[in-house]
Amino acid sequence: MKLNLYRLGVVVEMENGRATGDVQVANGHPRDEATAPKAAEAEPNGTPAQGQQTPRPRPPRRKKGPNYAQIHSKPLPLEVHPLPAFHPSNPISLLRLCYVYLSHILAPPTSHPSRSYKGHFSPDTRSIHVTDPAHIRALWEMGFFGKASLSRSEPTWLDRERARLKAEADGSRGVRAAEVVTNARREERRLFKLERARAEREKIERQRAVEQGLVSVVDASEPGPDATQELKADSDLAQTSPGVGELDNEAEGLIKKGVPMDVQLTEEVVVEPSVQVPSLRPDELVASLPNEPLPPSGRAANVPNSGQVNRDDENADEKERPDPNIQNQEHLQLTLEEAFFLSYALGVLQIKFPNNQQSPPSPLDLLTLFAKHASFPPYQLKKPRPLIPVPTLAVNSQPLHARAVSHAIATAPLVKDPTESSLRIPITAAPLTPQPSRLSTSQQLPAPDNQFLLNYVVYHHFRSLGWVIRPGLKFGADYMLYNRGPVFSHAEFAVIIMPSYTDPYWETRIGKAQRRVKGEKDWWWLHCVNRVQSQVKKTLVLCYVDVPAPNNGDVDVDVAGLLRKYRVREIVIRRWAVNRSRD
Amino acid sequence: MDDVDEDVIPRSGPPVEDIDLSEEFQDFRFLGTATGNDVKIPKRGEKDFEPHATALQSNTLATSRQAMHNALSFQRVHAPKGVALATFHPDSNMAYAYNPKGSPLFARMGQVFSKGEDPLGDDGLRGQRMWFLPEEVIYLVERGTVDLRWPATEDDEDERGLPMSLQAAYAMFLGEQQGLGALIQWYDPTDTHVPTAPQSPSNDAEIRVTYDVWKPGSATFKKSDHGPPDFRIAVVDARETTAPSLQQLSSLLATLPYEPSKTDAQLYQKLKHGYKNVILAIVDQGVVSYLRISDAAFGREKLYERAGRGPGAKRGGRGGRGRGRGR
Repeated sequence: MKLNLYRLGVVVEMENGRATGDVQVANGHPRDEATAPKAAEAEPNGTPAQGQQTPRPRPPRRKKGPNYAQIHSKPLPLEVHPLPAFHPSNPISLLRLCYVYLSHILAPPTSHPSRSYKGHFSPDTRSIHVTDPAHIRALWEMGFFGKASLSRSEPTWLDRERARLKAEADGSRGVRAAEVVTNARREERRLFKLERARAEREKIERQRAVEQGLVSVVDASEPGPDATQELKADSDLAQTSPGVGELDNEAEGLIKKGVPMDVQLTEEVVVEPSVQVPSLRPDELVASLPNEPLPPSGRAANVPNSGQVNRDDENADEKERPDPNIQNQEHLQLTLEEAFFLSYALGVLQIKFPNNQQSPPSPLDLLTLFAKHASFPPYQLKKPRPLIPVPTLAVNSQPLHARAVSHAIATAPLVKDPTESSLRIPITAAPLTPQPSRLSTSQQLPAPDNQFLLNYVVYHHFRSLGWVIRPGLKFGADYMLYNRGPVFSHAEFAVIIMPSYTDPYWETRIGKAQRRVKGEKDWWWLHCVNRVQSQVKKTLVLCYVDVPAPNNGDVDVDVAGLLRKYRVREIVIRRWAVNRSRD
Repeated sequence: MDDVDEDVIPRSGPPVEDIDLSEEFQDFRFLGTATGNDVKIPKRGEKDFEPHATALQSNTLATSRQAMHNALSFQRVHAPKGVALATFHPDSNMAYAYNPKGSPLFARMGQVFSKGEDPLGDDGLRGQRMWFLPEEVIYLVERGTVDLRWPATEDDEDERGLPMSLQAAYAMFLGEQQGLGALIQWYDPTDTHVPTAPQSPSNDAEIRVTYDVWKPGSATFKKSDHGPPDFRIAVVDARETTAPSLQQLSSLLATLPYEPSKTDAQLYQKLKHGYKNVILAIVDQGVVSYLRISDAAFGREKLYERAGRGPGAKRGGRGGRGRGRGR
């Protein structure tokens, strides 16, 4: 199937049946198509052309971060072939437009990469590992897929490690990877707090001294106005949100207050928290504020990820020769949803299975396999065959002793079935997710409320609308939604999936017994989640997924038909404060 | 990348719109200087976490306490002419008053029933008789606006009936309507509330809109002609019900009008506003929490079709404008 989306100026070729029913695949990001070539023209090397500028004194320029708009100009790892723009002032551009249009008709260009990205399925971690560095970068840059195993999310381990070794060797400055910036900021924040506590303590001591008459009021208040002003600025620091951005403002504010510039900018003042500052001259107080670690360009918080180290620095390659001793030990791990989206919906990922030389599995097989691994241990579709001949382990509902389990693992023969974890022990004889026992055909399919299926439906839904959707476990949610991507802006929405059993089937006795999610969430849970989200400035979205009834003997099942039966409805929850709603 | 978000988790507390002053400890010294009507909501002061044995601190604390005490001990007076008498009507579990005066609240509360609806029948005084719903009466009695009386009997020497205490009012009105433990909390004195109908919150599965709410400054509100409300509030019992299911929300939202945000609103505003919304008042034994539920239409906002950059999406790394062609 080929989709010609001339409205977007985009031709995307898709494989048969890859587009599903009520959720459409987002094919292109026209806005980025418009901006990316411009950026590329203006900055061929990633550095601005300033050659023809007249030499005039300019303030020292901030160190530039990478050009994210250019790096992440493609929203998905697909190639798009836009028609060239027609400029009425340049009639020849019409010819070019016609030429490209006709050539696209005669020989439609493919949107897929010449070689599929490769990943292999790891049953133990239940994720897909991508090890080829080129593929890792491609998947990260185009759509922000996956998480690097040794980094926060973007793969930066190798760069950080090189920079670290280099710094150890010649004592040069470190590298501005996201993790490094974060650590520096935390240290800075810790020093700031210590200093603030010290200043408050000093203030109280002085007040006590004044009250006890040890210090005359005149003496104490002689540096008074200035001192109190500085202290006030200090406590303002404490009051206004001491996020890093404000720290800069405050530091600039202090500079404006006429504190000597050399103190602010050149002197390397390192505060020893335990050292008592004997006198309380205001300039010293300010100087001892840990403003040194704030670089003039220190808006670290506003540069969400300074990313690939020195990527735009043209000298970077000469400076940093790859050290032959370092091997990249990092891989990209994709969640099952991401992998299935890349493989099924986009068709750009080829997943290999251990010890599996045969042709890639069909989408339905892949779906079934992933659904099976949505819970641990993976449920068995058929009667589980004992992997370990230790019958005493399958004790009926007796708690297993840890030693017994580890013994079983140690003595267990290696499992040859690649789809099963080698650590599987038949602890429970019954499958974790109850399967329909009557229907032989639907026995092959996962339960309709299987967690992988629900997650994938939601994942596909938001990806289709153009959101960058990433796991949100750290925020107590299922997914976070980013507009364009995490390097551009913070997530605004946190999604929690709510399985919803509205189909009459789920009200029957069998249906009720087969529900995976039993019992309702109470209001305390909802408030809990909502509070957390408003604390981190996210908006909670309850994503209700209407679970269809199980497939009743329909032999002709495909993934698109399966997914088409799900319905998604988003409900936004926010606290409502009466006081704030009066106008 | 979610860690980047994690790093800038605001450590200064919730955003401004989420601060509920009623949940904060305040420095009451502002009350000492408050005169007349120009009282502003105080700024929150610095918080001292421990006594540090200075006279300054203890003086500040004493001043603040004294200010609060003075404010609370201010003598409140009800002018005898201004008190409205209302009489309890046991059959309808409501109360009525004849031409109540003394408070601007009466312009917006209570109602005069038509001939067929008036529980006391169509006598000559029906036009002046204003009926109050149980929650309205309790609110007015708590405020001291209304002097509530038992119905007069022949034995009373005073034809106005015996005064009813606040406790008795609670007992009488609550005794009739079961499960209204949080009744007084439904009515927030800052807003003008008019019930759509005397509905009691249901304990069955269905969630219904219990109150229509108009803002206090609402220019369009008249008792005879309400106009569209500013908010709709559905009351639910936190202990008897669970977080809403899709069926409950669908049927609740189906009863609401279509109210999209302005067409020129920004993306995030549009999504948060939704195209239908209702406020849930979740009541747990008298404590109320309000949650605004809106039917967000993510499907209507296709990011890949949007020409401009989304809000908050900064220009990539380099920042600044005018870096494009022709420079």
